[in-house]
Amino acid sequence: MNDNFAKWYRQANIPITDEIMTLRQEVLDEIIDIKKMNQKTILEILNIFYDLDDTEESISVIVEEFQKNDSTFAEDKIQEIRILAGLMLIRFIEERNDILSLSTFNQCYLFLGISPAIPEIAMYVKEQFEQSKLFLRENIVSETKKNLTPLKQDLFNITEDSEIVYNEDTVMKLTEVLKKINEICKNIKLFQTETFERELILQEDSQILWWMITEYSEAAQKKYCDLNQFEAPFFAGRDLADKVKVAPGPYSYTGVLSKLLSGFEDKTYVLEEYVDNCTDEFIEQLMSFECDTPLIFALKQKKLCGEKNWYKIFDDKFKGREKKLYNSIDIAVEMYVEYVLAKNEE
Amino acid sequence: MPEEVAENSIFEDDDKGITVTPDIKVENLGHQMPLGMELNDEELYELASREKTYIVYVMGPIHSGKSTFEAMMYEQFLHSSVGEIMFSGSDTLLSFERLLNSLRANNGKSSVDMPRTNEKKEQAYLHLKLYDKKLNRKINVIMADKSGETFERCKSNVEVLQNEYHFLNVAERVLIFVDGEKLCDFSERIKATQNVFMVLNTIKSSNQYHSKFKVDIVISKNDYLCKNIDKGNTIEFLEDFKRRIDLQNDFFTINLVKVESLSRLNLKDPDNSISLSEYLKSWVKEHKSPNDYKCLPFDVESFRSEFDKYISRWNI
Amino acid sequence: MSKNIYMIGTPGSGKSTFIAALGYSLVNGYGIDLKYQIGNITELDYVSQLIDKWSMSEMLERTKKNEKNKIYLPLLDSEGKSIEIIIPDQSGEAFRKMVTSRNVENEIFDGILESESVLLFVNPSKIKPHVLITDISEELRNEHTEDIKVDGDFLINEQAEYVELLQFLTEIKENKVKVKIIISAWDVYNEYSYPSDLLKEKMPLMWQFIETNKEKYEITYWGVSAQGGSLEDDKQKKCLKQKINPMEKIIVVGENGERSNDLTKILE
Repeated sequence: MNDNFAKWYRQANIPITDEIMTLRQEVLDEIIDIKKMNQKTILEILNIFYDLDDTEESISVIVEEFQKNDSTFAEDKIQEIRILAGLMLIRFIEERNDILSLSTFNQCYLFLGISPAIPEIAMYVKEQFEQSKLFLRENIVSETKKNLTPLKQDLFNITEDSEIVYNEDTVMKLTEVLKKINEICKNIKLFQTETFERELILQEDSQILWWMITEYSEAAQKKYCDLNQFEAPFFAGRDLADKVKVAPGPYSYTGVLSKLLSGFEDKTYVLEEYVDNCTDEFIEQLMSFECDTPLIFALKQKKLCGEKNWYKIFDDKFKGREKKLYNSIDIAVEMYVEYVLAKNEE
Repeated sequence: MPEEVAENSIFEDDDKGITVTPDIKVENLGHQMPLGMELNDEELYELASREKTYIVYVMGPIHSGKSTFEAMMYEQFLHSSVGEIMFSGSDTLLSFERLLNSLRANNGKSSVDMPRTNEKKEQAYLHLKLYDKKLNRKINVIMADKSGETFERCKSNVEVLQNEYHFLNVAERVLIFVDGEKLCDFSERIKATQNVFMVLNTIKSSNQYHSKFKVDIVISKNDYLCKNIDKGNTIEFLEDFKRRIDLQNDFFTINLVKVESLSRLNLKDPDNSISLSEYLKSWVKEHKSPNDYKCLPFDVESFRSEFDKYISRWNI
Repeated sequence: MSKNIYMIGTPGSGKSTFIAALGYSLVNGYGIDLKYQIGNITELDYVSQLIDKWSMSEMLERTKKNEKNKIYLPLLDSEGKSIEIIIPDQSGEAFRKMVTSRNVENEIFDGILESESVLLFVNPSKIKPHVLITDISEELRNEHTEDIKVDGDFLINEQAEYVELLQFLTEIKENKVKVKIIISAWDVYNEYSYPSDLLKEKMPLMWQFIETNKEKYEITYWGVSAQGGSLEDDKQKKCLKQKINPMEKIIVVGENGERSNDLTKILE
């Protein structure tokens, strides 16, 4: 972490002395407990990293921690706080397994073109996410190597008619057996879970492949080629997400969606145009989701406030976004990613 | 006097009974404002930890045009904004004014005579806060200004370089100045160019070096150089210099830039010189948007899952 | 109710002339449609001295270096409510000294801190052109090569001075600072419609600084000619003296180009 620590500060062009670096690293290593951090907190840290609004409270908490060994650390050191937030994100990715929420929101902010404090960290989070998707399937194909050490052959040598004396020695042997049974049960449970997960993934694969052949949207009850430029990406993204049984889903989701929407011209439009043209029937099914990822948030606001009236609320929430142009695949990918998270959190 | 104090007292017995009435009266101290002079390391850290900064190290021998360059970078804003880039403040305004004073007609001098940068000073950073109207963002450009004497001491000594230019690895850009006038002088030009390769090697050998190092070799006084370029084999010499610089591209992202700091927009050699305004714009525009960053692609051939292989072969 | 306003400006920027013209308008403005009217006076000796000279179109003396006058103007607004405007009139030298010494006297500091708004006076006609040695032709430079001794510390460009003064304001007042930029000697620039355009052209550094720091300053621009013309030009001076109503020589140009003779609008 030491070399990387200096490296990220360098990327952010903050000239830091060794002394200050040591102070910061001490807090990150010893005071901030990544293992116990909840999802809400890590998302707030992500928001700080992306310099979004409504982060004052979280910033105060972070400042308090760093003030424990450096009383000069203050809330106005916002650039440095964003870097430290980024370092916490890296630690989270390295030490935790439950990275779906963090990774999805990171991808959403990149989709909107919001500038992270250090783009390389944002890319690192994205890469780790892609890797986790890739390894879901890659690990199925490999053989499971579970090492169950066998019981010692001569632990018990009992025949049916023989008498057993329950002395200390016997009790110890019984304990051994119990431990082994426990180990076997755990492995069976793990094996069951893994097998179940594999089956789900294999089922997912076959469902996706067949779906790709039919090119038909269950939700819209139409072929994708019969939908318009604006509807198709929403339905495609959502349909793929519906087929995902094990989050975060397949690594090749971009390729799948690209194939399904290949019939559409590569025209680009602003986000507002896609959202304004999305039907209320489609949005209705999203209203129950609590998560406020950008596209779902925009769609819900469009239903609540009407066409065009949602722009300001959206811009206030996702401050600093670029007014980018998107093609159908960009929208479909974003819809898919957000829908997978929303389903997972339900 | 309490006993314990008396035991360790620094006062002699003869001092007892002496009273001191200070003559100095301090009144109406007023409120101290920031000094407006160059920032030191701590002030630089304070600024960079609060706001986005773009650090440029300006290196080169004495009289190679570093201070004039820095002064004129600021001076252009006294006339107008630089395209979409506007002046938004400076914590070192007095420093810029002091540098510019040596160039002004009302300083009483008939020729330009820039003061030598103080070798011993700890404060070395000039600050310009700029606003990019197109991108709607502010950036703090910091020019790290070290004396020519410091450069001479550092150019061939890794330890001295690491001590004197200790934030070199944080810099977005390093400018190594070459005096354009010296390139026209047969007896001086070898040393002038040799300095560049010497310091590049030293940087490469130091802990400041990293693979994304950006270096601009800045030939100053290009108006003078352009006027005297036909003397002898100067053109060939410069071509050879450029060729040798290009060889350094394996280690640095390196550019050769020619400036005429005092010409402002009326460049004497517009085909080869870059105006300070264009040069500044190139610095400010450098920041990449997140779209420019791509995920590392995975090697499809190494996949075991046929599903991933099949789909990944689609051109995304 | 009282309202503190603080005036800042370098020597010759028009602060005292503004007070003189404002004082005259208030004292003689009964029945005229002004934003504010004069209320019950307690003491206006200093203002009265300024008014006397101003009304005769005589040049006002520069406020002496260490002179500090605090003006209390009792006013009535359009609804008849009384409001007292308190304006310290400090010499321009004091502000110039602030920039070079980097020290703000307690009185000035407190005055700015307590003020509701700051009037920043700028006289573009007094700004010396920024000329480099290399801007002068070589022949001219080579005519005399001896250096001329220049007294005093190094000279700071006036634009930089004003930027520093503005930067000081944010050091003193932690919240957003309300600043009214008063561009004086407007009679010289009558062809301009908007004060901000004039500032952009004549003092680009200051203008850029203001435009890019709107989160720190609440700025309004005013163009003012408190004198109506140059008192150094005999012809103009004669013309000004002959005016029946001296208030007619006052020019006030608002941010959107609206013109009037009413200086009291600036106090709002």
